[in-house]
Amino acid sequence: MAINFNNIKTIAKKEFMDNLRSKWIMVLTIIFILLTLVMSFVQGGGGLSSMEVTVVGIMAIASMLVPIIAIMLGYNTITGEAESGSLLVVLSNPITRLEVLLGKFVGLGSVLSTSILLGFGIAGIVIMVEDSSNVSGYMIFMVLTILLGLMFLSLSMCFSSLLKRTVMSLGAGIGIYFWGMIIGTVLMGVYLATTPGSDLMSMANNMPDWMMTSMMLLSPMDMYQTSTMLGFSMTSLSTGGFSVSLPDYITLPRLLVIYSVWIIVPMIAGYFFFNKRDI
Amino acid sequence: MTEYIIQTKALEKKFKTVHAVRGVDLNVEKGDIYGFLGPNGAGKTTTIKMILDLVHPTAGEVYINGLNPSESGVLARQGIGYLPERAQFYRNLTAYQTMEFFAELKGADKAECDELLAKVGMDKWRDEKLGTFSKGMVQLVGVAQALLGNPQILILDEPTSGLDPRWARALKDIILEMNGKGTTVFFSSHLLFEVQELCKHVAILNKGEVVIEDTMHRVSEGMTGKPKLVVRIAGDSAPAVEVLKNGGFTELEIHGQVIDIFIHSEQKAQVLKLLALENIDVEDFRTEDGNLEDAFMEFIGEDSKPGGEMRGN
Repeated sequence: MAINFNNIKTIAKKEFMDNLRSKWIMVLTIIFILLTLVMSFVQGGGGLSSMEVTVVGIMAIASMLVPIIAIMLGYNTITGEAESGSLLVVLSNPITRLEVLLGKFVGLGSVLSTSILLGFGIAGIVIMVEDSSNVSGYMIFMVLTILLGLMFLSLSMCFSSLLKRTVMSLGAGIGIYFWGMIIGTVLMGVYLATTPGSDLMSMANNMPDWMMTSMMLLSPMDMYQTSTMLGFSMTSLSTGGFSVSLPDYITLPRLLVIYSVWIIVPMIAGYFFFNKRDI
Repeated sequence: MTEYIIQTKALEKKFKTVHAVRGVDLNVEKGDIYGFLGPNGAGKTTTIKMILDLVHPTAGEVYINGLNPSESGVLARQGIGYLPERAQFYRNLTAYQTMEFFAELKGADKAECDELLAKVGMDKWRDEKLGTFSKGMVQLVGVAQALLGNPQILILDEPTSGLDPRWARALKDIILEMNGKGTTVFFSSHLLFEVQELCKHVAILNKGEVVIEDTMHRVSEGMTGKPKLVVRIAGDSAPAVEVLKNGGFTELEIHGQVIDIFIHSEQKAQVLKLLALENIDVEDFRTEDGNLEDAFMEFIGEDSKPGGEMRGN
């Protein structure tokens, strides 16, 4: 099947213009800047702290906020436009449904990336003035944050292609979000409940491979935080009394493969649903 | 052999709970203005969506210029202008940006964007966001985008809905102008009089089936469809007929105590006042606005709904 890249570009440009102007995207970008700088100040005890320390502080918040933006951008893409009727007009043109879906993904992904790059980028430049030793790690952090967003964008677009109505796709979006938030805790609960032993601390520190692997495969938040640490060449993290060291087989390239699968598979499924759909 | 630009063969659509379209055959000639009539819920929109491959048929085939859109969609949809019923577009885009977006999808010259906005009187709001527009204004932008790229086929689904009467008339002129330039126009309506003065051919759809497909002339022989006021006079209707004729209302049909007066709906108060002034006792009255449901009932020989009900404008 031939793909017309001009069509993808046209759809992407429209999505970008239509969404970048909405106020909440601007608000979230400013929240990124402020949160990062505040976090850097708090941890720096008076001055700004290093990029590494800032990122470790900020990534838990980023892993909660970024999926929200992505889901807000994505949940309504197909359902909303189908309900308003604009999708009817778009699809009456010489364009394929694949081009429409890809164009939307590229356009909304660009909105998401712009917000992340502006928000964390501006904060990063401010921190760089104090300390510029870990710029490459910070760049990797921004890229991984974008990838995390694209995962949730892809997932929410998939459900938007499948479900008939906006309220249903909004429900699915909320569902995806909560799954992302709690799956790590659920897995940890399963592990602790099924493994004999009483010292929770040492159990958490000595997670078996199956547990670590399923965390990386199923819990995007944990995978994101782990990959960000690897981006700064950290292999152990001490927080709240825990000191988790990463096993050797968890590497950044392998985690990037998991990101890609999470982005590509929902898109393929979404295309399948969209193609079958009556608009 | 006649060249059909749009053809459907035994087109069928079953949704989960509704059998919306039941074996529809349509034959639209090139250069025609084709009216697709039917009461609300008859399956017109679903049929149109199947023609454009927006809804996948359960059975049957569609051909646009001999191409099946579910097989070669991109080619088949080349040169089509389409306006769905009550479409909304993108709230954050301006009128011009909306036009530019569709011009790019159609590969139309962008100079047309401003020309067409001016044609539908929206040039004054060129740089305003669609989110601030009224329904009628959005509908006009919708008309303008459908005209981009001088379409070979114009498909309009209830195009006058949401338009004020002035723009509904302007739209008719636009349709005639486009048709004069060679565009085939296919439009749906539930109002007979809207179609009557424009269309060469017409199909009537009811409950998902084509009741008739023929020339407008032949179809309209079977029904009047003109707006009328129906009054029931207490007692003899002869004096009332006399009064009406003297008052200048000459297009009358008398069925015993009931008189059908063919007038524009603005005149109905005038008629009722005249009858009251002459002390003629009106037992009951209703208006019929040329709504297809009434006309259709007339066509298939059933009488329209019993009186006592005030309907229409």
